[in-house]
Amino acid sequence: MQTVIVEDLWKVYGRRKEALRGITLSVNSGEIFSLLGPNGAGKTTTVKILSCTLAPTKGKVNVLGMEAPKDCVRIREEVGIVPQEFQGFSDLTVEENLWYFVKLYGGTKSQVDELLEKIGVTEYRKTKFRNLSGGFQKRVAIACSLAGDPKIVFMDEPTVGLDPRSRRSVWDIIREVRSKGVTIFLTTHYLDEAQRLSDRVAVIYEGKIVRLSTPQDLMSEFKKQSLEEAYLALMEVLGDVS
Amino acid sequence: MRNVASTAWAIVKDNLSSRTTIFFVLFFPLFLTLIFAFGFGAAAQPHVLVDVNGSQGLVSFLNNSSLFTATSGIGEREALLHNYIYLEVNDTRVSILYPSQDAYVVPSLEALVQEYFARPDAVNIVTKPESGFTYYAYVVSGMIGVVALSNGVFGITGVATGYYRDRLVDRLAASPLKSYEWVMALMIYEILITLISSVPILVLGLAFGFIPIIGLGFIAFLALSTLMFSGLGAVIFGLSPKDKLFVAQTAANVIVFPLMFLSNAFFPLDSFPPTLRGLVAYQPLSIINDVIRDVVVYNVLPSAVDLIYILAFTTILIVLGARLMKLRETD
Repeated sequence: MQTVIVEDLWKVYGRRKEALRGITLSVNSGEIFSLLGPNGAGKTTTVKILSCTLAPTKGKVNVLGMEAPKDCVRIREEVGIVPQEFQGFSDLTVEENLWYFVKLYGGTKSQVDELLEKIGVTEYRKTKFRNLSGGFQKRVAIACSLAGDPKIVFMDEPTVGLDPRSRRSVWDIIREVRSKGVTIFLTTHYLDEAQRLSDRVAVIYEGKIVRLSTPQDLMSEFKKQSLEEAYLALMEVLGDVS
Repeated sequence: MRNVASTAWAIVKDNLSSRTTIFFVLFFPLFLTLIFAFGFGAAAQPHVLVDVNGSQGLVSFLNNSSLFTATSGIGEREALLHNYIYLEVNDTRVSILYPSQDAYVVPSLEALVQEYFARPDAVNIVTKPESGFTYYAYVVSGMIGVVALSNGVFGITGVATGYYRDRLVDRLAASPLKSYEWVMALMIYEILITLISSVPILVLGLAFGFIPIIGLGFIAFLALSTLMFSGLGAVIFGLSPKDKLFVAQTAANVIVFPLMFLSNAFFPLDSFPPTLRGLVAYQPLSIINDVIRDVVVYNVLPSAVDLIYILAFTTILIVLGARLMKLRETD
């Protein structure tokens, strides 16, 4: 079953800036799907359209069986998002931040305790968000994204700026979330991360999907030992010199 | 409404836990009031305003003296409410009604009036002190309007900019929170902040001998004024490009400071050049200050025209602000 279906999706900012140029992809239920690509390729725009914060210029977007933007009110109740560099209410405690988001989705106080435990931040429940380390801030961001028991979570570069240890603990959380049947749509610059976590990856380049396969298939296609090497080889083929 | 209340609570707690916010909420308005109260207080007032009824020649004569700034046509009640000395000329009788704190200038004024009428004892001068209002009362009440303006506009643009920068808005945009709930929560926060900011200013006023008349009417009007300027802040923020958030802050500065200083907040209308008086008199902050002064200083009912003006402006700005300051493009 497919959780996300995108067909010929276009997004044009202003009159001429084409951020997405007809992308087509689908995400299966319960998988970790990674969208890879250089800066400005259209990853964040894709996430914003799928999470119903940006309107598509053209194309078909179906999330959890609902059409965006027509059914966005309902879609927003069913999806979670971890925005890039999310800061939360910086002077509220971890618990207060979580309670706020749980309430937005009509949840109860007991869900706050569950989330704190699930994400491993119970001991920091009374700590202000801004006093947390980057790794723990990211954990709280993930916990906030799970506030409404979403069926799919969009994570926009969730490990950017984290030290290796924190990155690995975020990976563990992502795997844990997926093990509960939640679909994960991930964007990342870290190819090792995508290789370790993803069931399938799509590579977006200048607003177009140029590859959509499993990490292993992509590595086989370019006869490389790692996804990073395969990705770099693909970029070379595409003439990307950045 | 549940989402509005919980979002407003989160914004209030988040911001009032910050020392920077506390400084701008409590101390900055107080600091500004002190500067104006001490810098331009009654003792330092460079001239005394006089309203003359019944002799245009005396108006010119007093103006030529350089000791007084005279005008005509304000009327006894308005003149005294606005800290003018009021002169009523009737043939051989001149009545001088003056705010009690201006008693020290009355002998000079009497002498000039006698001089104008050419010979001593040509007119019978009657002087009467009235409970006028000091410049402190004027500036403190004016500052309340300024607080509504600055909290409304800077508050909305500043808080929203911060939350955009922190990507909190991205998260809220993907949540069930509706755009109007977000804007309402921000406005509730600004109203609360304005009420909090007003307290130290009014306490400072007490220290200067100004006893404000505080009632539900004042609180309701202050909330309405803040709503109006929050609407303006929402319009500014809504029109600003979100990839250049500094534009919102710059635009807020460009709009707030002229509104603040080209108003009757710190100086009476007559202190402005004649060419600017129309603009100063009818811009929103001046109208708000007129109503605030009516309520907290003069204890009179505000004019219906002023109230209609403010209600109309508030409605227009809130509707526009709520439409422009969307959480997301899909709304």
